[in-house]
Amino acid sequence: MHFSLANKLRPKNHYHWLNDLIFWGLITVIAVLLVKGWHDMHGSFEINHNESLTVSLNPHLLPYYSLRTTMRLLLGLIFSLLFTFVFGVMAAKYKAAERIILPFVNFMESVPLVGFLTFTTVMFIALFPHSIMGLECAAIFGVFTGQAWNMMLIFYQTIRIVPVELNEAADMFHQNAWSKFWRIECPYSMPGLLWNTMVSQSAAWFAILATEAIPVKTNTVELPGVGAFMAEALNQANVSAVLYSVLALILNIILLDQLIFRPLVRWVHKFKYEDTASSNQNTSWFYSLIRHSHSSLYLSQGLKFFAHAWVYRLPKLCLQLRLNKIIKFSRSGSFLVSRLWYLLVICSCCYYGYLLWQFLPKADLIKMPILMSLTAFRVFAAMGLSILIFVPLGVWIGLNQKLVRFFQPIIQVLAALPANLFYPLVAILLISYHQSLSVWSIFLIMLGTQWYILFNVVAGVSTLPHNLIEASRMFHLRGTLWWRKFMIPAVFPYIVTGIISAAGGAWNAAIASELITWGKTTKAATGLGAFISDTTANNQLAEAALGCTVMCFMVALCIIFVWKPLYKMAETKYRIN
Amino acid sequence: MQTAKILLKAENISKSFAIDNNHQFKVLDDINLNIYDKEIVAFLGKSGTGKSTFLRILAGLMSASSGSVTCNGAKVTTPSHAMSMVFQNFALMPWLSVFENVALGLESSSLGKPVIAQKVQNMIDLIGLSGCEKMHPKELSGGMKQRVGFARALAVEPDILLLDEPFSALDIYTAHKIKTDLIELWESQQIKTRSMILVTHNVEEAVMMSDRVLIWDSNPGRIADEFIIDIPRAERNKRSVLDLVEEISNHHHTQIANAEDRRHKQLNKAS
Ligand SMILES: Nc1ncnc2c1ncn2[C@@H]1O[C@H](COP(=O)(O)OP(=O)(O)OP(=O)(O)O)[C@@H](O)[C@H]1O
Ligand SMILES: [Mg+2]
Repeated sequence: MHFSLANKLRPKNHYHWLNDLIFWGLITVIAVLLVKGWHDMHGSFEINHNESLTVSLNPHLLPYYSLRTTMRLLLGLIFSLLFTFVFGVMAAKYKAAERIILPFVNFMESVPLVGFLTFTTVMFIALFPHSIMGLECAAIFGVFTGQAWNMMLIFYQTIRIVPVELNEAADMFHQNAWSKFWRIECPYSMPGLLWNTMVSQSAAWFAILATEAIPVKTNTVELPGVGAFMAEALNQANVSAVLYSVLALILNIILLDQLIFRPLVRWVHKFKYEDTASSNQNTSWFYSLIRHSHSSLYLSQGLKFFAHAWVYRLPKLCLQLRLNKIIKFSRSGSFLVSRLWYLLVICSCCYYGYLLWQFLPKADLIKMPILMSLTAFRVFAAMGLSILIFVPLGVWIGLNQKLVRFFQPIIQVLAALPANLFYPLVAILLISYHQSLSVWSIFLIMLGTQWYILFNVVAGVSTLPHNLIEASRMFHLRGTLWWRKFMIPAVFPYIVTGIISAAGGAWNAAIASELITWGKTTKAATGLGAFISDTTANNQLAEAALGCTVMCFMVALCIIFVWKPLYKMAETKYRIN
Repeated sequence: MQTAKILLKAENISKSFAIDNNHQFKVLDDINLNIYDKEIVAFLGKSGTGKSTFLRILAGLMSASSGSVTCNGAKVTTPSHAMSMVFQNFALMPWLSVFENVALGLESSSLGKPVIAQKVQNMIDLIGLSGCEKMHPKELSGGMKQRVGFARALAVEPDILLLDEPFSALDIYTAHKIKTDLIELWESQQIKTRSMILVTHNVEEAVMMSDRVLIWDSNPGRIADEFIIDIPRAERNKRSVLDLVEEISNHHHTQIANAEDRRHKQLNKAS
């Protein structure tokens, strides 16, 4: 019945067996590759026997290395999604959880992971002492920290701004909290979540590149992967190997974009609440291939059946098992529980803070302010430059739908390229032309921040209410007047969002870009990043810990005194509703 | 009426939108219209007949696929200084205060700051916004917002005022108040505006305010009929316009029914 209806709506020749063939062929290949990758991730490895692991610079191995890297990326993505759903919902629904989760995630979003690498690696190796999985986990955790915070925040925010009329409609039709979540809140937040995940891909790749070659104790362990390949190529000053790894990475990113993100973007389009004319243009060959295959009919029916069971049968089952009692109970004791919870959090913070203070070398404390301000200066200069250059560019693109359609896919791929991908190339240039890294590292940081700003400004301008653009033309706003009274205020919230989501990456880049190596030569710029890289390379854990702590402190200051006020301003004064 | 000066002239206006690469959707088909000095013209028509599109073409905000618009003898290609527009959902800049919003159109002129401030203040007082200068659009009610919209449009002293359903987001009392204020300002020539075009769905509103009512037909959009309202404005009230409203409504309804009929036939033929 359903089948015949679907056939009626679409002409028969829309479906083609060839599509099915390609689809299942691709699925089989992908499945085989994933199983192979999963198996190799569990090889044995004795960290305590000073066993070393290096990658070979044979370009024929690059496809295999790409597979291993992709495995890490996908696992990191899955964990990020889990985290997003669990903690996003908790923060949105429980005030007591929100009060702790939000500041923590806000903070983590801006903390540069690269500073912490040694510490996280030690932790994961202790978890899996006899398997390479420990190191894999460290890399996966890197991917996780690159995107999870961002994703959770956007999920939390969109759940909270679900339009009132949708909620009221759901209440009218007696939906319970569970079905309301899956039928309304979750679909509503999908486009934003997907968008954010895509934007976070560069951070994920950044983390992968940084974590695949990890200093453990005194020797560096290299996980088989593109990032390790690149690091090894840099160590050996092998130009062609560097170029090969860059190429492999770009191909990998494009492949993931085509097979995962593009189809998802196209699919998620149906969840858009208000559709603007521009958003209709997303196309994906893979999506239309699936769409026009016979299997898609059966698949979608299976999915529908599963979704129905998930949304409506499951709660009934839980009700029969009296699982709802648990939720009721936890709700009723919430006052006491939340007080205890706060107390616990405060106590443990104090305790660990004290331990940390004991551990830190106080002698190095005095030179910290200088290092801090140097690094902070570079970050702000990079942000300022990105804004100056990329806001006008974004506005120019965003105002023209044709340009948006042309540039958006390109920007998406460019934005997914991690900034440290370009470091080797820049390192070669700087070292051969004897330039100072102190200045040029600003541009290295920009490589990461600029895309966020461009991305957001383009998105902001192209979703600007058409009426406002017409009004600005009707009243002949031009030149500086146009910028001052119309465009800058209109894109201000988007610039701020761009800056804030770029912040984490910018600190990361600041740390990573202050010390570049090329074969035997090293270039360093004075700053906190160079201090951290130096101390971790020399296994001076206490000093490294001091560097990280100071960095966290600086990031926290930055959040409280710069990002938050900016965000407040964007939310109140410049919001278009 | 025919001897009066022509302010705005639209000749053979057609407009199509591209649906995708090979399909065009014709919204306007060969429209001719003259707007004379000292008149108010109302556009009445079903949703989607292209009234707003036509208004935007007249304003120079959108270019026609073919045909030309002339205003005071000059071709309109970009937004003309002789025209100004009030938008259905206000289109006020949320980040500017009422005063700055009203000043928006004047600031791009070559006038000095004090002159602008004077003009803006006058207009704010005239439109009944005194005391709200410092407020932001968020803090205003819909009626007040639309008053700001009118003040902003009138502040640039346009010859022709284009109104795209300016009252449809307001309740009838607020709308009535703004309408009477506007007509009074216009008749007593306290504002420099000479003619207006009003897009509306409300027959009574059209009859009460305008000198001519143009009925639009859809698919593709064109002007199907014209009704001249020859009751002097001073004598218009609910009772005196009743017959005319009835007549136009009936006419309009039959026409919509006919259009639906045609559309069904087309659909049947297509399938
Ligand atoms: N930018 C655009 N691209 C494609 N189609 C458009 C565009 N703008 C308008 N249309 C189409 O043109 C037709 C006329 O639209 P328009 O807004 O002019 O109608 P209207 O008569 O003002 O309707 P309403 O009374 O609802 O305001 C509609 O069918 C609309 O879908
Ligand atoms: Mg309209």
